[in-house]
Amino acid sequence: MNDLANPSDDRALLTVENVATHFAIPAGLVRAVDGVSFTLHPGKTLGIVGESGSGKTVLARTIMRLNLGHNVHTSGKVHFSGRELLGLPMAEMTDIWGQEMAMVFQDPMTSLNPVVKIERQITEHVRKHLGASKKEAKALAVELLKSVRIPAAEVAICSYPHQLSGGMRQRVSIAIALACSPKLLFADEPTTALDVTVQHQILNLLGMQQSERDMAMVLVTHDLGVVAGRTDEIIVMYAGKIVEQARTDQIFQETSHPYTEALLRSIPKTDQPSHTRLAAIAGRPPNLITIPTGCAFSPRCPYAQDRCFEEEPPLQTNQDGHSTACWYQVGTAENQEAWHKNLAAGRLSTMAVAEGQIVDEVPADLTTGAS
Amino acid sequence: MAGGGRAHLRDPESVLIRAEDLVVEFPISEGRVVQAVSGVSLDVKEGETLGLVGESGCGKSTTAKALIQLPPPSSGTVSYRGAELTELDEEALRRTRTNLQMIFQDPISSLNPRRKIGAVIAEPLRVWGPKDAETQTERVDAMLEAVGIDPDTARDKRAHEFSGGQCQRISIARALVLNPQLIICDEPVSALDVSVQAQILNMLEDLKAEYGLTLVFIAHDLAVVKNISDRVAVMYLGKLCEVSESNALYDAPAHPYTELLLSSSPVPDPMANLDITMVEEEDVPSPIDPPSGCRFRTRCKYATGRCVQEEPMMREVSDDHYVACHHPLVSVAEPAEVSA
Repeated sequence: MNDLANPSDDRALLTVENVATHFAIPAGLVRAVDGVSFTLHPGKTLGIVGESGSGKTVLARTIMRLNLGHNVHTSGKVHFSGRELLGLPMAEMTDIWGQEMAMVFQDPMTSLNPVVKIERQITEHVRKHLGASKKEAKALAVELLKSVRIPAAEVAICSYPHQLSGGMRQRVSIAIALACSPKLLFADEPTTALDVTVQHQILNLLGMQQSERDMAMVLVTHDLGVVAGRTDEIIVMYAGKIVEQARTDQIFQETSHPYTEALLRSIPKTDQPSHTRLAAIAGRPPNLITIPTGCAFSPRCPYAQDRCFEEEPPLQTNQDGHSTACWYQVGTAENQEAWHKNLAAGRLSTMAVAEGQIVDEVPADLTTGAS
Repeated sequence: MAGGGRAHLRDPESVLIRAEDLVVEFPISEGRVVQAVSGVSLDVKEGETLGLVGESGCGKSTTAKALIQLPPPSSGTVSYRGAELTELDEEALRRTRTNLQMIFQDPISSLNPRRKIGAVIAEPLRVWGPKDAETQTERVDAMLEAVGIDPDTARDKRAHEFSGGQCQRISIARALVLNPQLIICDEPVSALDVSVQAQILNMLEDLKAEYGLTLVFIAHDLAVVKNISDRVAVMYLGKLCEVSESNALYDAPAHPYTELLLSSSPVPDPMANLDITMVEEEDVPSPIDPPSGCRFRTRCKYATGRCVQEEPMMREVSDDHYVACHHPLVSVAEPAEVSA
């Protein structure tokens, strides 16, 4: 049984039930997150994957209640260690932020205050939340910097963010997030702005800190390579919804949603010979104000049939706890049949995968789209 | 890592562009200089794609820009089709540069937000001709079509009306409009989603075949570089570490730095053998005061006393595979030091 699939599990640290976040803008209602449910257990790591605009960051920020503004409409329930967060007064959230859940942001340059020394940026909330004295807080800050492997921590603590490299700055952000030993850490694209070697180290660091502190982590990223070896479970999001949700090994080895398959196939790999033609995905992610009826991925999907454009597939869980929202799941006979049918018809989205063609505009029904 | 030596350079007659001992230094306060590029020699054959890979700050962009004299190197030579670019006068350089174009990392900020796409792509034609408006429009339309954008709908739009991937394709169209021979692609896909990245990589391969282009492709993602390149040069702190035919480099990396890059590269496979305990304390040393001898020695687990004192020279480890290391990871058939 998949841990993620049972929202009423009382051992769970975090239970997200049917959460939706909509932004009202002059052009209409942007449905950034549209009915997402999952469960996370203490000490586990969950990966949330999707293209830009799939709603992964908004989801993380909704759970932490960081989406502020009068035009934000949030619904659903978020249970976190015995409390329902979406209904809490904001004043009570300040006790949860930092102490119980914390976030590491993408850009370590803009998430740190450029005119405040590292020391105060770490000790600030240590003093507030833990009531530590100045001296205790400073000692703790040095300890934290050491634990994130910052060389000469006693010196580094007196520097400003611009005096540190990108990787070191991200280590400082991690130290700040870990300062009050949260039970849950959100890492929102923590390494996207960094080099591969630094990325590798930051991810290692997060993993080591997580196991030392028995902390749960949600790793939000667009890169399936980043989550592959480092998560227990993965959620793949598309147009604000979960399209596939399973154990990490299932996502990679028994890929069942065409979108996940498409993402995996478009990544260049070092074990492929040079000049390997990559499978492209036709079209673009949908406009979140006018999400297509039926399956939101259908116009871009190489396997789509008439039913996909008319009827939205529900997220269904199989006996192995692997959930997929698709009528023609990858690996089934129906899927193969749909592929051959579309290939014979020369459907654009199918050809994009077969031949790596660039297709920008895809029709919103099952026409071949050939001009 | 030294990168001294020119053993990896090929017959000057057979290459399109050849740079020797490029040095680029930027003066900073108190008479100090940032040694961004310290003696890099490179060549690219016609129709070849050279991948330049390394961490940020290793000088890969600066090296590529020095090839097209943007700015000219502090010392060193760049010969392009027999012409010595560093010695050309301003007018002749301007003329030669029409053959040498560039695509930048951020597709949106590299297009003028206030101008229509048609005008952006026609700009090089306005400078270099043909001046006839009708021919210009035809040429612009042909370029937009070549990058898979419908000219009738795109011509009068502005950059913000396009997605990041489309903007990058428009930049490619602009680079192609003067029919150049060499295009320098400076991290053209790092800001894009994987699905869009695949489109751009496929498209560059197609355009290369169609227009007979030669590419210098800069990236920090090793898998991307492998996918597009015929030959790969690995840089570290202003020097070359390793130059090789691309498949050979990935099958048997010879330089410890290449090995480090490869082992850090994320692999979309949960069963991959991932070293999840390694956390280096050392940062990349500063190019203001680079380490003596081999520049990589401060982070190298194989470093010895020799690496502190002596800068390794480029030498051949196998056919078209060169490394600048005293302790390469593959056995060297003839340990004879080849230095020019």
